[in-house]
Amino acid sequence: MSESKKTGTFIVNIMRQDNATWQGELTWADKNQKKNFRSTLELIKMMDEALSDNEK
Amino acid sequence: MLAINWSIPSFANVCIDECSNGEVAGRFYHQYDKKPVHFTCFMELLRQMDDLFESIHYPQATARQRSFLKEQAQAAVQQELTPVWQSREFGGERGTRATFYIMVKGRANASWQGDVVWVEREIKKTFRSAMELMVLMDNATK
Repeated sequence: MSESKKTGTFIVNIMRQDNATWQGELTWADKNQKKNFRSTLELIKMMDEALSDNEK
Repeated sequence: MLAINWSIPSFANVCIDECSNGEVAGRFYHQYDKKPVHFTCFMELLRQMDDLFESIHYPQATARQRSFLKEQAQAAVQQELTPVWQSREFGGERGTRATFYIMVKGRANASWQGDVVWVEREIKKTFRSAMELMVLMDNATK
């Protein structure tokens, strides 16, 4: 992965643990936006995409 | 002898070459390119494998990825990829630290389900989520 200076602030609220993974609510603090996530994979991808936007 | 489904389109041969500070680095091979895909952490591995599944539309995801940036996630355009490896050749590469065959058979609950084989130990496990898969691999590489 190329070096980058992606930074950001998130609040992860894990509300359930079903299907061998986590579900809950992710808050992107920098933009004051909230989204629900259904798995850790979805959580990671949402954060990664948001960080790419922060980098711009 | 373990039963391995070599013909599954999403088959990934994950070669771990480095483990440090709880992270892994290496490369993975799939059927559609002779060149490996390199990764420097678990997250990058997950993201690149998921990109592959999206491009070949296999396994079909039962849910669209949620996003802060896009109101409605766009489905990736399915690419017509042709396997370039002969038979099981892409399973021949080995990682310096560990090698895993990952066969993702389903993408339900916004995650992955399938089987993983720790090649060096000839152990096969089923995983119900990407998180479970990461924990299995992390425990194996400690």
